[in-house]
Parts: sequence; structure tokens; C-alpha cells
Amino acid sequence: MPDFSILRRPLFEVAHLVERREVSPVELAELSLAAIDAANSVLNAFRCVLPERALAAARRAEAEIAGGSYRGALHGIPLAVKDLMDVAGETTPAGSVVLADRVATEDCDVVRRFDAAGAVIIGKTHLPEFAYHGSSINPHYGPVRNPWDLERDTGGSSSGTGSAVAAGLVYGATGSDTGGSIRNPSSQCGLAGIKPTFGRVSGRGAVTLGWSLDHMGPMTRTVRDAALMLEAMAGYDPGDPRTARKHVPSYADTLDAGVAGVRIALLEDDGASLPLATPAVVHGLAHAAQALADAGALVTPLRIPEVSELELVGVGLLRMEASATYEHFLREQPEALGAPARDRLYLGWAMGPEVPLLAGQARTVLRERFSARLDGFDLLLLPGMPYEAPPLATMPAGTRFLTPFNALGWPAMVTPSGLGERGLPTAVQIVGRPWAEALVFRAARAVEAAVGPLNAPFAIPQ
Amino acid sequence: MADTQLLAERWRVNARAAGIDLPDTVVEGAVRAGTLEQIAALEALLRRLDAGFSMPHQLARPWDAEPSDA
Repeated sequence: MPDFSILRRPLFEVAHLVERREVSPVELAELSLAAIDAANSVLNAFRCVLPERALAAARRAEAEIAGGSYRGALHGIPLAVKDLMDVAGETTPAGSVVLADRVATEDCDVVRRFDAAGAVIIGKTHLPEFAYHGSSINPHYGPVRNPWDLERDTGGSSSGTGSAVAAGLVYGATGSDTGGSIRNPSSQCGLAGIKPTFGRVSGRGAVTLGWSLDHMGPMTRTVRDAALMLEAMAGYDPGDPRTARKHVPSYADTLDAGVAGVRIALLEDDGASLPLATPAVVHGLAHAAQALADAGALVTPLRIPEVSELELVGVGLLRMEASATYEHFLREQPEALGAPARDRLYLGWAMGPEVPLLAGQARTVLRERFSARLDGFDLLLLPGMPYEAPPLATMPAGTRFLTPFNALGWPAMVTPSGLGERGLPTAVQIVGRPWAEALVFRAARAVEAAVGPLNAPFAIPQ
Repeated sequence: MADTQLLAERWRVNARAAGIDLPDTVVEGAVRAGTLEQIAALEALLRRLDAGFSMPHQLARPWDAEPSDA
């Protein structure tokens, strides 16, 4: 009977064991594949596994490390990718049946970078159709279950990634985030997940939902693991004109630099005229704020009505961009689309003809106002999801703190803030100015140090 | 309510013009879910922000700030 316990340890710890040749990448890959084989019928986290590719990569890593060529923290480490990212020779359905037969001819940029880092891609994780839903709802492939409570949803759209990482089937996996799709399931599954600055990670070879809103990023069980994964994923890609020629620092190296003197705005009102969040989430937010203050940060409450305005604009932009992307399917084979995605795609025509132009302008105005509002601050602290994981396949009503930062393009990370009344994770979100991921990671690490990483009470069936 | 009905009708017209077959059940579902009210709120916000934005028809002309000859 396999001992899966090493799969629950942090990536960074196991990386040291791999480097010192105390753990074999081949054994890790075989263990991860066995864990998925045992757990996937319960969780429905993976759409497919890639045993041949994974074991070949693991053998290559093992030989290289034995020969003294250690590439870094991801070398020989089992990871997964969201099933909207191309892996050469494999299909990329992106949660749909209309794309199910399309075979990728080359790896997406993120997978290419993982390969260069020596990572072992184990498989591809489920998502709602076209990543166009905030829950795990998918009429074609079924919902994804949350390892914290199998009757609860993971949140979406990186639902399979949330479930796979929280359950300890892999050490980390990718998500994409167009309106909150990394941060929502990270919040609901007790993970660290970062949507980096727009342009930090290439989207080449990833199925598009909203061209100006899509962000690729990592989801992991610790902040340090996310830092290590993002370092590998990030960088300019001449094949994606959205990416920027920006230096990618070593986020892990500065992770423990602390937050002394860092000026943090604590959101006290987003302008929505609604309670900020459930009592458990508000309690977690206060706990995180206190942890940051105890670590020397200067935390000041701030009212930012632009948050709710950016949400409206972000949702409007998403609807228009998604409908433009998938119009041909809606026109030519609407019956092949699942109702949740199809009904949302229709909304692209519900707005007036002037809205695309005005929304683009509004985005510019609000970006300037938001930036001015945060003048004198380095970071913003606010809730991730405003509630704990809802029942399985429930339509979410709470991405109001997430979508604004897709519209802005600023880096935003969620990290656990504790457990709520039902024993489910709550999360806070830390937002930085463009390209300030290193500072975002430092603050997230300070919160993590106070809260501690959370472990889902899921046992892989034996 | 009247605004919502107008938005629903505009949606049908837009979809028809684009060659999209928009089922009534989708429109009704969006009305029930408050989605059209959200779109109305977005468009109101855009109009409000537009008032402060340098659209061509709202460019501040230098003479607007001058005292009237009258």
C-alpha cells in the first residue's frame, strides 16, 4: 500500500530532498500517478493524466541530478496544468466538447518553461467550459469536489487545480484568472494562489477567455511554493505581445525580508453598500491585518469605492471579450455548448454598442483614480472570497473582490486566513502595484507565518 | 422594470442583428437573476465616468472658462 504522505509536504521541502538525491523523481511521479488513480474517481480533479510524458521527464530529471546537473526547485517535481493550456500531442478541451478533438501541436509557453525547469507534468485538471464560471459546474465533465468537504464546491474556474493541489495529488498546478479564477478556488480550497501582473506570464498556447483580462499563475499549498512556481512561469514571450520585457526577480530569495515599514491599506468599504464578507472571513481579515501589523507593517483602514466600480467594468469587459471569442460556436453549434457557458455568452449582445468603447475608457479613468486612492500605500489588504466554500456546483455570488484586479491588471494573491465555522478555509487577498509581486509574496508569507498552511482533511483512498 | 424591459428588447434586437438565436428563456433567466439591472448599473457608471473624461464632444474649450461678453 503506497505511502502518499510525502506528496502532502511543501514543494520547497521536497525539492531539497530531490536535490540531495534523498528522493527519486521517478518515485515521486509514480506516487503522484498512483494518488490520482486512487482519488480522481472521488474528486474529479483531473481530466487526463500523462504517464508516459511524466515518467520520461522524471527519468530525465533523475539522470541529470545524478550527473550533477540540478536545474532548480522544480527539477523532478510533479506538477499539473489547467486543461486550457496546450501540451504537445494532447487535446485541450478547455472544459468543452467543441474543442475536444483539437490536438495541440506544441506546448504552451508555461509548459515550455516548466520543461526547461525540469518539472514533471503529471496531467491536466478540470475546469468549467471555457473557464467561464466561478464554480466547478461543467455539464460535460461533471463538478469537482473540494477536499475540505466533498459536498462543497472548489470554486472556479481553476477547480480541478484547486482540488488536486489541496488533496496532495501534486505539489502545485497552474490556474488562469480572467475574473478571479485562480483566487476563487485558492480561497475555497485553502491554497496560496497568485494572479501576477498582466503581462508577467505568457498566455500563448492557453485557450483565451478574455484577451485583456486573462492571467496565468500558480496555485500551491504554501506561499514559498507559489513563489518558486511563478519564477519558472514568468518572463517575456515574443509569441505573446501582452507580455512585457520585465526582469523576473527571485521571489523566493526575498520572501523572508518581512514587511517592516510597508504601508498597507486595509479595505473597509468597497462602495458596494453590502457587508464586506461573512463574519468568519472578516475575522480572518482582521487576523491577517494584525499579523502584518505585528510584523511591523503600517496598516490603515481605507474606503475605496472604485473597487465596486472596477468590478462592474471588469464583468462588462469579460462578457464582451468572452462573447467575441466564442461567437462562432454560439452562432454555429449552440446546442453543443453547456447551458452555463452558453447563457453567459449570449450576454455579450445585451449591452449597448457604445459600451465597449466607454468601458475601455472607464478602465483607464478608474485605474488612475484607484492608483491615486492608494497614493502613500504599498499594498492593499482585502478579503479573497467573501464566504467559505458553498455547496457543490453552486453559482457563486461573490467574486466582487477579485474581478476588479483583472480590470486593473495589478498583482493579487490570496492566502489562507484561518478556518470558518464549518471548518472550511477563509482567505485574504493582497494586492500590489504593477510588477510588485515580490512585495506581495513577502506580505503573504507574513500572514502565512501567523496562520500556518492549512491541510485539507482528505485521505487518498487506499 | 420599464428599463429592464427595454434592455431585454435591445438584447433581442442586437442578437437578431448578429445572427444569434437568443432563446426567450435566457432573457427571462437574466431578468430574474438581476443581470440586466447589473448591465443598467454598468451603463449608468459609464455615462457618469464619461462626464469627466475627455471625449471629443466634451473637450474643455479654453473659452468656456472666460467671462461671457454679455
